[in-house]
Amino acid sequence: MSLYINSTLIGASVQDDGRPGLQRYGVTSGGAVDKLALAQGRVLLNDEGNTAALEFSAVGGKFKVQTSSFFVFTGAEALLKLNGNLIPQGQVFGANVGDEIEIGSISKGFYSYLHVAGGFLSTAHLGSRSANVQVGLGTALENGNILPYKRTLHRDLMCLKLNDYFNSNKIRVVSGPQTNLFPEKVLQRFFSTEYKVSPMRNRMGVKLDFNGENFYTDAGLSVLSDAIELGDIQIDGEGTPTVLLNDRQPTGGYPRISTIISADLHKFAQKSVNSKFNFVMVTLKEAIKALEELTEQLRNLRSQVDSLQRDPHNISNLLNYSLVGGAIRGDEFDES
Amino acid sequence: MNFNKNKMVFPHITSIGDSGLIVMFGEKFSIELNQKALALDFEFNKVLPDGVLETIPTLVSLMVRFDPLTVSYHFLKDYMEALLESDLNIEISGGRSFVIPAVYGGKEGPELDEVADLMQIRPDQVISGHSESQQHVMMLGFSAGCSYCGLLPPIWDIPRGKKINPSVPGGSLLIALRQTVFPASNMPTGWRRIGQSPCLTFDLGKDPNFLLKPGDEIRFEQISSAKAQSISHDKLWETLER
Repeated sequence: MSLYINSTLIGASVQDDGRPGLQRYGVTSGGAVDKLALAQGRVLLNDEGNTAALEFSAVGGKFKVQTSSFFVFTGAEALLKLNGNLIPQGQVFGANVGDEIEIGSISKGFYSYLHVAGGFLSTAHLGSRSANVQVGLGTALENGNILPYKRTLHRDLMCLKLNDYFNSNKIRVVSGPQTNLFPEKVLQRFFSTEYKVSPMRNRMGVKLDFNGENFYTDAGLSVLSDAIELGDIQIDGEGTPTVLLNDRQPTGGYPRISTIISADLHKFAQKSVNSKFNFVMVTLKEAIKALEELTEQLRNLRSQVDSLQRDPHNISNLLNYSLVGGAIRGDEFDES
Repeated sequence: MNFNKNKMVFPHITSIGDSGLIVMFGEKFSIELNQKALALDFEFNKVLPDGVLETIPTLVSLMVRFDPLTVSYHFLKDYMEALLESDLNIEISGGRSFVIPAVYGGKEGPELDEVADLMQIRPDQVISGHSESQQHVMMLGFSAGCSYCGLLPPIWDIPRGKKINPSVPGGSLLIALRQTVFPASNMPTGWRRIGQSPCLTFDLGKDPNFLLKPGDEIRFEQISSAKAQSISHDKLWETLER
């Protein structure tokens, strides 16, 4: 009842909703960086609750199916093949024992998710299957490891049109407790500067490149360690910004100039290395409105899911659907 | 853009992100401000308003994370202001008391002599001074279960080291700025290591997983290296609370 990892994996880990509530003990929540892509997979596979998916960054991997089940691939764009046949992202497919799933390098966006019916069942620590190997929660995934999941669960071959949110050039932020430690001129420059996502990035944080003077603050040098929020933009001792993500440290003493709004976190995290953008300051009210819209979008996912079994005349891109790859033998669900 | 440059009045309440609120008790550290933050955390947690997800007390502040679609920042700000107007009892912050064994000096505390030099006292005085001090767990941070303990008497106000040690083991007793940092797993540090406890305060196999909470009191008790090796970590947790 598992998937066998048949290649080296870099920057891949099992992730669910994470473990909120433990930051007071020094543990940040972790969890899937792109909540939208995680939710899409759950809706497509008709899974309720905190199921876990396999999160990839930048590169993909190869897997051998050891128990037939149903899968779907969401998030950043990469080629997905089942036994060499292309399958579109957002399309549920069945795979049989011995089948090979291959995920290519990510071509647009940064984080992709492979979901299995019922979710991956790697060991939960502190109430979550989300791995954060650096702090001793979960283990690194290696060639030859297996990723367990439930015995075959039947799923319909649903599909969902995935929209492209991978290259937002405006990332919205709100001010925070240390915003005012920066001189007015530095703040003005911070919001007029164009940034580039640097290759120095992981689930802890994303360092930003930019042209021009660094963002110094004398007042910020004596900040006492306090709690770091998801999406905080930290200005380090050299005056360069780093956006802190799901696996960030729980506390820090570098000043944070502002915080990315909840509704834009997944859009920011999905930006490719070297992609450019600006930060835009919004009010708390605007941030909440954007979060309401995202929540509404997540709520509406279920009504947007389509069944593949419909009149082929109405499917304009029929050839993009892997009709054959979705077929199964028919005896997979027998109890024996 | 209009940034408010008014001088802060403490306690100061402001938003952090769109799902957080932070109460700051001051700009400089003091044990009194730390106790106020912990007392507020204790009071606030007695009856959590709907929509509150977690509270995170740190050195001189308390952060509250909430679902802004369930409860508004402005509601919580008013709620906090009302709590702050009531007299917070800093004596009753839910703290427990622990005595934690530790080996001082030798290979377990390679920078003991350096700390003694900086404090201009003898190494044995460093050991007795440290092990006789009752310390507060002021916050947990940096990594899982890593406790910031203090404050030690003013003579312990020594700076952090200039060079970073890439990895010290969990259970290290790390000293600077009148504080003991007591990590539960390997960490890089610029703080000086004067000892080592066989006790790791974060254990995935235990329930609860974390031995210490902010607001607890601890005292370290000197034991020999040989004794530390004979201590079973599994049994240790049950015997520490006094």
